[in-house]
Amino acid sequence: MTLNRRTLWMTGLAAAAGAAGMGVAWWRYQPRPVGTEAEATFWASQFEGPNGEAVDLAAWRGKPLLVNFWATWCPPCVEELPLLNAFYRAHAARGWQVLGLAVDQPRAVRSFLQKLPLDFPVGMAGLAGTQLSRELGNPTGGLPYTVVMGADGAVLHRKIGKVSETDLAQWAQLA
Amino acid sequence: MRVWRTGATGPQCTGHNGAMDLYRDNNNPEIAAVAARLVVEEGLEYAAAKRRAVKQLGLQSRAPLPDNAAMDTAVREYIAVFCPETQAVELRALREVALLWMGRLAAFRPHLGGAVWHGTATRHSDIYVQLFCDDPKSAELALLDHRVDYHPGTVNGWRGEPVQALTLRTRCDALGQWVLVHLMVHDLDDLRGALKPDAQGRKPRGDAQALRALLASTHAPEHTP
Repeated sequence: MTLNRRTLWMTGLAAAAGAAGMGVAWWRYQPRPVGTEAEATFWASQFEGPNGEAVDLAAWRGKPLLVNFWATWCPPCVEELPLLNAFYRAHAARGWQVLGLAVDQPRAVRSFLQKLPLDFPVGMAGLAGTQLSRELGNPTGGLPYTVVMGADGAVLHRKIGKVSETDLAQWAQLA
Repeated sequence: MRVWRTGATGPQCTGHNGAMDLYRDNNNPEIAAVAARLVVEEGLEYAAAKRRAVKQLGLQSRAPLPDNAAMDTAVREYIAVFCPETQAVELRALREVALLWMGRLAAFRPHLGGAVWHGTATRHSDIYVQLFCDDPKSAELALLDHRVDYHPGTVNGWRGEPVQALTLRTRCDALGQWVLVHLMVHDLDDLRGALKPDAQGRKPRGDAQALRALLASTHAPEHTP
């Protein structure tokens, strides 16, 4: 009885909600231009890692960087993390850096990372992370949001929504 | 209120006091007990459980029903007799899930109500969280921005007025199953009335801090907040 109810709920109703959401989504999820000021703010940012270690972005400058804004309760974010991890493993030797910025409760992130450990560093951006992602061209702060930055510290590419293998392959060509 | 009942002398109409007491003495505890089993074992809502209990007992559909306070008592009794250990574990797991979502939605002043708050929840129970928002659209936008699949709907609020409800499905690892979380979106102004004690003198809902306190005190026997 209960299981039926939950299964039915997912199939029919989620489809309806999805269709309704799509109209809203197309204008909400277009990246906006990023000013050099926003880039400067970004490179001056400091975060705490999952174990309290410092993540100081100034030290990350000079190499290509993929920044991913995510949250444990955002299903597409969770789905794309393994892709990002594979990207990091494949291209770290060529100088690529990957940083996950968790816009979430630190406790939830810690317990999530215990279940799904990531090779690349994660910073606890908390609610302030939403503001940072807005400044970096994500008007609503929607997740996931991925920003690719070059060795010179300038934004090369951005994507609101789940990244694909193709996106990552193209970004790998950028640096 | 007038109640018809069928006796040896045929249908007769009695004043409400006499009839209500008569039925309460006869069938009411039995209805409550059967309904309590349906609530605990199958996760039915009180109203649906009462209706089905009446049917199962072969009573007239107009038999007076136990009130919600009587249902609460019957549900607690059923749990105490049949599943005190498993229920305590399941309740705790659901409260942890509720706390997690209340943290995620902290900006919207989440308050937990229903069986998970009052302590009668089992693995079949849904989680009911009331949100008190400056902008009624903001909670829905937060779900959209996190790409959370949800189902918009309407439920009756505690004053009987229609309230926007956003229902989402979340995985509960501790129980190894999915759980439904219903987010009821209220105006910020409603928050004042929301914390008044209910008919049984209980706090009808609590915020994340109150829930954390409840979780911390869970090793003691379950009590009504």
